[in-house]
Amino acid sequence: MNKSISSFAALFLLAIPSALFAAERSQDYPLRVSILGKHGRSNSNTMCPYSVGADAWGSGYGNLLQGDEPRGFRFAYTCSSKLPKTNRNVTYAARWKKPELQLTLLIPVEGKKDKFWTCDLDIRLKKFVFDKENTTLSVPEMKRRMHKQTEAANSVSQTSEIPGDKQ
Amino acid sequence: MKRPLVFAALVLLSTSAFAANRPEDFPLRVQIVARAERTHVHNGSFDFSHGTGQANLFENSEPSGFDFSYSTCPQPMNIAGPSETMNARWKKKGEELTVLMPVLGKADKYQTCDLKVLPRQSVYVRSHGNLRTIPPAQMKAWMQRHDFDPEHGKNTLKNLKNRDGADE
Repeated sequence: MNKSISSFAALFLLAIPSALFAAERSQDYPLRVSILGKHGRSNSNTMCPYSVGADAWGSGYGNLLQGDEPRGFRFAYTCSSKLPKTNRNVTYAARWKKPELQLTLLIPVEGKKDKFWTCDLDIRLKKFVFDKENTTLSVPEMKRRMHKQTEAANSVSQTSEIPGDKQ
Repeated sequence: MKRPLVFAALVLLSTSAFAANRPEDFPLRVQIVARAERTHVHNGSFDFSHGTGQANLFENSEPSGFDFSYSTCPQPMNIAGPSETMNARWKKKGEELTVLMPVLGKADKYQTCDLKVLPRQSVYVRSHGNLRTIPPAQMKAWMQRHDFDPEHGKNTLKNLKNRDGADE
């Protein structure tokens, strides 16, 4: 009995720091990043003896949202895994490693809740925002779109609240 | 004893190579409209790229199209819209252009890539994802309409009716 209590306590103690770690990490990454286009290569299937520790590299373009300020950027990386492209309306949490030059992305491990891996991107910020298929938008135009989307989302949520109010 | 000296010399050489590449020495602007590229990897990291493509040159506020090829480029070549042109200069007038590529993750550091070029009588544009050509006069009129002249810092398109205007 005592044994099971102590092993339970040990598990509990182990669980607290890891849970905190996950929560703390996501809070420490206040920026949002979308990866819109990329190309790269993974070495995981090669027999190259030098590929250990640097399994994937790539480059591409994406957008960064810092507060309510959107900016486009070009990036290059060498990471332990291939950087997955973000789907529409999905972003990665990120933080500056070197302001305006290097970003650390927090990438969820597929199929595992609250598990992340990180990847550092070398970047060059742009004065515009990337849109689909390598086209660009001005920052004010992007802000206007974001504002419009927020308004549309708010009106949908208000509309959906009406039936609830009547009940 | 010799090794640290050689290493220091190499570091100095590479630093001076970066330092020598200043945007003000590359007054022309190049827009990569299309490219087919192969990238090479060494020790798990990007080594160099080579390929061919189509691009536009902006020289003396005049646009002109050209085909190009490159054999060893220190970075992947990016297809870009008009807002994202690269600084460039002639290495051999009408035959070879050197483009300036910012080093990602480093402020004010640049690398160069030499493009062998074949000038065209038309300008390349992308329309709904497809590559096509238009006469330089038409492109010039478009540049004037949108107050676009990347050689002189006018990189942002003005008077756009909608987003698709950027792809005209």
